[in-house]
Amino acid sequence: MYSLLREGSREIPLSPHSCVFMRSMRKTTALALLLALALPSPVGAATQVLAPPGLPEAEQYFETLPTSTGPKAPDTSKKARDAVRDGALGEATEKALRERGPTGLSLADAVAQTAPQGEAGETGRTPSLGSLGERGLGAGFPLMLVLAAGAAAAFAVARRRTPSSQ
Amino acid sequence: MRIPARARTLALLALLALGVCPARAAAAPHGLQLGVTDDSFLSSNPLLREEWMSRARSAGADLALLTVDWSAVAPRTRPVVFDPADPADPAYRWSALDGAVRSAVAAGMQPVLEIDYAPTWAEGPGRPSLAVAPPGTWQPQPAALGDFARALATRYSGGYVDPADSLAGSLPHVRYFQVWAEQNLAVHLGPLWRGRRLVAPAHYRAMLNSAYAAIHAADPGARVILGGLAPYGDARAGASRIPPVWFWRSLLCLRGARLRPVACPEPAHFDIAAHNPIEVGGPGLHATSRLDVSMPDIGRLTPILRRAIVTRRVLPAGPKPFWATEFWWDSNPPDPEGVPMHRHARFLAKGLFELWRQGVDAAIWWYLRDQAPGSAGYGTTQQSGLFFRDGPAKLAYRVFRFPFVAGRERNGRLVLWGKAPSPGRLVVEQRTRHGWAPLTHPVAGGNRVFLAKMGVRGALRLRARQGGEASVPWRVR
Repeated sequence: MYSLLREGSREIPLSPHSCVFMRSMRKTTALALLLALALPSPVGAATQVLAPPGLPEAEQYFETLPTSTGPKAPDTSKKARDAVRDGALGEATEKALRERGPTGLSLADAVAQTAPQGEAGETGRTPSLGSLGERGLGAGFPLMLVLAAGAAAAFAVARRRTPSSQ
Repeated sequence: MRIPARARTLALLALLALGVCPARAAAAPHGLQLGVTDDSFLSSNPLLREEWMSRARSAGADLALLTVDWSAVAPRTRPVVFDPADPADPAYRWSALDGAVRSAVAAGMQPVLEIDYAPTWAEGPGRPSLAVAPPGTWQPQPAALGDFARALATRYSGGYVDPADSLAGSLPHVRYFQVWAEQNLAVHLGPLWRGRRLVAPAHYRAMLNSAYAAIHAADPGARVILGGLAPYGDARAGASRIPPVWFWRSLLCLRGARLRPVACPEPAHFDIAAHNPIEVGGPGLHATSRLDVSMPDIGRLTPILRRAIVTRRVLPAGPKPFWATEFWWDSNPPDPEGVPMHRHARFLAKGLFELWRQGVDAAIWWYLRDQAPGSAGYGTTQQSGLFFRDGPAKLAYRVFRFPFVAGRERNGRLVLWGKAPSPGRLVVEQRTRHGWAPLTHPVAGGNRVFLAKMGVRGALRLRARQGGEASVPWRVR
């Protein structure tokens, strides 16, 4: 995020005006964050269901995953399963994301959904798209949260780096 | 006589140089028995049964899992005069199982008898409708299960005269008995809960212990296998699936994530631990919940087992082998929702390695042959066979017969693992512009498993070969 305030290797000097501008931006960002957090989140209310390949009726072997992407009908289509199962993320990355709860899981799903299609060699990973039938903001909601938090952090860093004499 | 320190040092160095010093020999990789199950194994048609048993053996299976439907072997209603512990009781119907056991042993495999489904008269009181609890799953009575297990183990103790052919001698010996399957699911054992209290593990413990005592009384050399659990559960009271980690903790009288031992007047008795690591994804996909156990998550169960052994919450004392008693992926073709054929084969190879890597000693693949599609298509039946239903082998057959995978450690070292068709030397070959060239010559021990590590960089296409038989190639970056 710090690189946002750099142009090449040269640090962009910040004027007192920019500092005022930043203060107002920080307020706006904070408000946006508060607003986003205050919105009724469907976290925990919805689940995504993964079924073993080829046995979509075998409920006893479903893995149910909480999602933050709004109410969602269980999608056990091949595409949807592949998007998660063989997603473009490395296993470790996907696991790490999943362990971060619904937001991480949505990010993992979003990456899987936007990965290029096609065979990916011998590793058994075939990134493929999944139409997960989202409603509402979908995966954009957690992405918005992450971007907003990132922007706030960037401004905070920039503020700290502003010379105190100014 | 005093030996000067310098002389002692020199002598020690000399011994080291000669290799006489008790330096620890490189440990041979542990084994991985392979098994399969199939509907045809219990067919009443001996020709069909024997053909598929023979194919299973040709695929390299050491074990043939046979589901023993207790309700099908036992009488439908309990006769007034009936000795359920006596395998010779005329009310029992053993012929299909006898045939399957004979065929498996004749083909060169060890049968694994998985006991499931109680007859109605052996279920507990307060049975709900069949829609809530499928037949044979409602509180199977431990004492009745013990009686049946005793009859079963006596019949296949190796000394029981074959009633169909007394001239042939005894019925074959069966060493392995698995007590129930997926008892963390309401469709296999009920009730799971009473209100907010988890009750199924304690009930299952009573079933397991009763069967254990009966089987060992009939055949002290028999091995009792814990029922493998389904991999995913729902972590809330009243749900129809208990997460396997919860089930194991409760079964083994260990509380919470810290595995605090609690009172356990009758610890669970089994000889072999088991789990069913069925995957919704590829073989490396972890279950999201830490309470669930998919293929790479066996390590969520082993600490519970270790703790139970140390605190004597499982008996007899001592380490337990660990088996994966059910895993599979459906293939496309024929199932349009299955995984493509090459990936099906790769998943199998990587799955076997994944299990072996975690210390699993046996892995049983369901099924040998594709099941026929159901009335609604392929979605309700399994097309996970090593063979298509009409006979031809899939690529997975070659993998099962000669599993081989290659990968890299974090430091970039190349790891080669496999199970050769026979013990002895083999060659791992690298694909070049001029064909296959030898890369290394690992040696498979008596258990046929080989493991080699080497520092070769770059993208490679590798295969293992022993005699005229080559594994399915594996690509590594």
